[in-house]
Amino acid sequence: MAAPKDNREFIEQLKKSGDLRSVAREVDWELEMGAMVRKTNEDGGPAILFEKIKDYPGYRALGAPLATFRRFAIAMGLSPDTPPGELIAEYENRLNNPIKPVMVSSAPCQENIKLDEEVDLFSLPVPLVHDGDGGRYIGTWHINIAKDPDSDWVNWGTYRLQLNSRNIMSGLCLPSSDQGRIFYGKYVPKNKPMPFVVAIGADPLSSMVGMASFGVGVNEVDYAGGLLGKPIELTKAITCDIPVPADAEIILEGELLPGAVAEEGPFGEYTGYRSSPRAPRSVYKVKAITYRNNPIFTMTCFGVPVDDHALSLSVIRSVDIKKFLNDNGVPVTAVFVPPEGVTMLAVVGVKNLYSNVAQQVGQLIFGTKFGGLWMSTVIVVDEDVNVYNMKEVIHAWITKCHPVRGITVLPRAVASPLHPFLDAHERAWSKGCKAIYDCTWPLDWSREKDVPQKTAFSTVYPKEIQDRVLSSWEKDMGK
Amino acid sequence: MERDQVKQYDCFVDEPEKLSDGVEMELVIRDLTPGKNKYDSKYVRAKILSPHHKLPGSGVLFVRSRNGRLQKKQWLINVLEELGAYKTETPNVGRG
Repeated sequence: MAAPKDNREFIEQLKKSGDLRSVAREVDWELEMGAMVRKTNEDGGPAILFEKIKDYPGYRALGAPLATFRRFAIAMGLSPDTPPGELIAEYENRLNNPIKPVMVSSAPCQENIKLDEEVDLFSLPVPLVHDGDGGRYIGTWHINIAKDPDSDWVNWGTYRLQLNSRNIMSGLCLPSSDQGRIFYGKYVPKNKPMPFVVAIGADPLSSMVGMASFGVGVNEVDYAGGLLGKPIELTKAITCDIPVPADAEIILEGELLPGAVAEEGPFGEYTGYRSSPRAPRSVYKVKAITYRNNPIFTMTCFGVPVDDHALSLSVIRSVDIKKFLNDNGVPVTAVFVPPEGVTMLAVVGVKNLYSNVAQQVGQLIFGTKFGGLWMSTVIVVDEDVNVYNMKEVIHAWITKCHPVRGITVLPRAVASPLHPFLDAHERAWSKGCKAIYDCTWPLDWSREKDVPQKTAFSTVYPKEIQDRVLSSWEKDMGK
Repeated sequence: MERDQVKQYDCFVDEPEKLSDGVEMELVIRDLTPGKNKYDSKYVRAKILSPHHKLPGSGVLFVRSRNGRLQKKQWLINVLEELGAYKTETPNVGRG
């Protein structure tokens, strides 16, 4: 099966594989949609297509598009049963061949156009996702797009967006993020607004790639094309020179305003908590809304794992970290960012060739853009531990990590304001801390005398015994 | 005024316990009128009073903490001036 080129092909493929449930009854945008998506996320259930939304006849909404490895595999054009390790390897392989996008003059996303006074964000079925949220969130599964004014760099990111009023949104655009750097570095000093575009309901790989970190100056859309296996089709926005995904369901165009704030949050975040309080944050003024005929809004409901964010970033960060460690000559064997760790945890397998390799791994990860801000904990294990198997990881962590010598705490580090364990002041000012857990056997322990023998089926029985047991296992077990 | 005609709003405040009767203050309120425009928000200058007072033309104000927790006590609110959907202010870029 080919990777779906847009949101609608994706929905059809999910229906065929049994990974989507259509709900025909009327569902309320106020909490009910969010609660249903939350429930299916917590159950590991299917994506949900809301066919009838209260107050919004003619609109549909897709919830939880990429919250399972099965749906991620379908988005990649792979078998839904592809194991996570293989999925991550395929994702890594495709990133080696980015494909430039192509521009098209006529685009489905501009079948309908509302400009200036016609703009009304309340015309979209924007959900109140969680009780206690600071507003209805228009941006939970979308792409924020902005262009560097001094180059051809068009950055795709994912920054949550709250609907405040008819044409105003507010959001968490941190100065440590790519678009925050462009805005605060290049527009704010000149007191100029920064043009932006938000694409809602793009193809699943484009929506996902907005969360990846390919580096400053790198166009994410090239990698979306690489993952899709063909160029992403873009078209020029109506009000600015930013290219937008041609097949997206809904496009918002506008300006991020300098010298302006609006209250934003709190919001139930991907960490599983409503951890960042309401605060004055960036103001997005919307000047145009364009959309496909019969548009399908897309959303997810962040919370305790696993949701679309944690699942997608499990794949993305696993590959990001492995590539970065390889580029730095670290003897890394495998990396997994388990979705249950909500992007704060990385498990790294290493070939333990020199002392303190765990320190090197942790400090390198925490020195990166993606690891510095969002990650708090790195577990480093020997190569014989399957990093995708949490039973093995937990066993290695609790048995091999010395509670004094094996844990390194980095007390002063960059942090996300969303990290729940920080106090309110630390969250507000991104004052964080990190920990590295060294779960490798020390190199100066004799492998013969000092390292305890692992007592596993695969390690304590001669091969002929293992073979004999396995050859008759199913029969012995009555299978 | 009939109950169903009374406007209902809510707001988020840092220290709900410090709200006091009769004070004029700047708030961001969300309009809780059912329908498509529910949760439309704006900055206002408003006067609030405890519910046992009379405040002609007032609406009901629900209060949430800055973390979103709904407080038990409701207030009466009289919107004196609408100040717009956002404020002109230099954001503190180091603050998340």
